[in-house]
Amino acid sequence: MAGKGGGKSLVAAKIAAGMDKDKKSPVNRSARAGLHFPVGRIHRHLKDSAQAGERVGATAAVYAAAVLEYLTAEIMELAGNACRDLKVKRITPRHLQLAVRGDEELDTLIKATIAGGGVIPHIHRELIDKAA
Amino acid sequence: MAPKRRGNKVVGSVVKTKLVQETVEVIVADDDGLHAEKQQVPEALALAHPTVDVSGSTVVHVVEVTAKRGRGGGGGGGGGGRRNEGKPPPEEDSAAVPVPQSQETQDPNEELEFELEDEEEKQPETPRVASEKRKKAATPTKKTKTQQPRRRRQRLGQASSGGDAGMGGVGGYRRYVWRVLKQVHPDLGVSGHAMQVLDMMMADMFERLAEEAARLSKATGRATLTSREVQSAVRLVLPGELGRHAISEGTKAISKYMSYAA
Repeated sequence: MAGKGGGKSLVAAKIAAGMDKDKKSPVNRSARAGLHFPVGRIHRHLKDSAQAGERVGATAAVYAAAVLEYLTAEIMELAGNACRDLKVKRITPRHLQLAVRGDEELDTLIKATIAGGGVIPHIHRELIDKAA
Repeated sequence: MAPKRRGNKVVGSVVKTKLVQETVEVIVADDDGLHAEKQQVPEALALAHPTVDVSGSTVVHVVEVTAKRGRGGGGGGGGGGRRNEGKPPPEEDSAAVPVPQSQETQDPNEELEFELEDEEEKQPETPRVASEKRKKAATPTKKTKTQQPRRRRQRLGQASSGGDAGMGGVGGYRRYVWRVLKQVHPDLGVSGHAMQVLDMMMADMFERLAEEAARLSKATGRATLTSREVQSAVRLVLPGELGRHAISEGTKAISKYMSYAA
């Protein structure tokens, strides 16, 4: 009995030593969720914006980061397309303006003025000279 | 100390005596600084017990009171009026130099310095001439360019506190927007103005979502803000198809996050 007990304890010690060797490196929450946006920072800002005595769950920050990343990807996709259409390699506020105002839902979402964005080219039908 | 008693027997008694010597030195200077009078009043009080030797336990307190005429000089280096703090007064009368009356009227303030020092720390010091002190105080100090703090040039769109709108740290969402851009368009860049616009846009969207989610959690009477409240906030804030796609992205991220934890 004593020999068996000693053998078991030896195996347990070896397993514990192996676990120490195979210690996992820490992984941030953005990598866990497969996101680029910062889950930890968004969690902190959610706690700051929350009222006194209100708690913030761990999944709320992950969800908010995913939504913000999706919106960013959507805007960047459209702005990059506008940039390519104009045959330039750098996105400017003008391209952002064209992308946002060209999409109906983004136009509804972003009602603010984009600095340096200009306007959408549009001439009213009644103003066009028919003789020309 | 009172004797310690056990029952009716006296165990022992300790007697401590101190030899206190006080020296009061008063220096009174006239307006011209020519005459100086010193009065020393030594007082020694010894309380000696016939059976206790007190030769080794001598405590000496020296109190010096010095009255000086004129300001301590607020010259260069921020010395202020406490230039002679921690130094004994000059003990030689021959070094006193008369001061012109015109300079005397400029500094009518009197300064009293009370210094407590031990006898061991007393060291002889060469007395300074009063006229030299006045000259040093009169000469203005020139400020060089190195003393003035340099101002950093602020980049366009950055606040004076060092952060952008919406996020506390420097940069906000800029690095993450850049990563997403390289994911969707690897060969394109973005200008500084456009990056600032995107950063403020993301900060505004986060603020809208957080405010709506907090309002929902308060309305339902729950103290915890979870992904359920954020999902409802997304439904309310984002219109139409944009909201549906955002909800699917959020649900996918949550499921991946929970599966990683398991």
